[in-house]
Amino acid sequence: MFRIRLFSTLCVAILAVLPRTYAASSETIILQLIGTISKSVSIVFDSSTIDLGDLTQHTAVDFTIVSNTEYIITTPTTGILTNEYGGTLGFTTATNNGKLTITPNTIGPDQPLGTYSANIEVTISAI
Amino acid sequence: MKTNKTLWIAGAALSVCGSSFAASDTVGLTGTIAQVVTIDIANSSTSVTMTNNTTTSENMSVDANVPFTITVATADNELTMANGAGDEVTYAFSVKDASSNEILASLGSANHNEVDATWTYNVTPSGIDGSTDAGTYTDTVTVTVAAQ
Repeated sequence: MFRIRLFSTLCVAILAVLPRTYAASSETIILQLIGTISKSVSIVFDSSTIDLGDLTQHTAVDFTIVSNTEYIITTPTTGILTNEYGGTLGFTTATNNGKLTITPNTIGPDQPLGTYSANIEVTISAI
Repeated sequence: MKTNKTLWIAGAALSVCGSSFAASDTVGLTGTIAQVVTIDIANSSTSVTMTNNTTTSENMSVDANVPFTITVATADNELTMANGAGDEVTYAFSVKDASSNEILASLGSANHNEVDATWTYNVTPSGIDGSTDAGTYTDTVTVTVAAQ
């Protein structure tokens, strides 16, 4: 009889304590935020056209590079200017400190007259 | 001698069966609903869209049968995400209810009454430009709900 009463008392005590023991009066969660920024590069010339003047001097144009990673810039080192009649004149290029410099080859006495033009494609590539 | 003892027991039983009185008692019932404040999210890891002013939202379920306080903090108490190189991207963090009412506009704490709802937490990066280093950015945010 004593054992039964003791067992009953223990059960009542446990039931009285359980709700308070297991009640969640606070909770904490940990959030892990993850985001990825992809590689991107861009190049913009300050001017879409370079006026080379009388083709006797070098001319430079500024450009702006925006990159969030290492990159390689590729520029043709030489090119050909062509006039409206098919005459040609070579030139060399160089890039340094955000400038593209065009240097026409020396003009000889037999260089055809005319307006010479060419396009240069400068490529920037993320590594 | 043994026969006499048996008759005495039988007489007692007859006496009980033949009684006509009623008896009653009252038992009181009591129950306690304990304080419960819980928060639950489907995924502990959130993939944030790394575009300026673009908000990434995720649901979180909040149950509370008492007024409670919700607290949001980052590991370094800064609204930044950093990669291994130390580059950082600022972001805003908020908690909103289903009607887009702000429960918490930024890091910190706010009090709220009893609730059984699904809220959202929202992460909005800013200040990203073309020179923001490419890579993976992470941060840890701790959200705590506690009965007041």
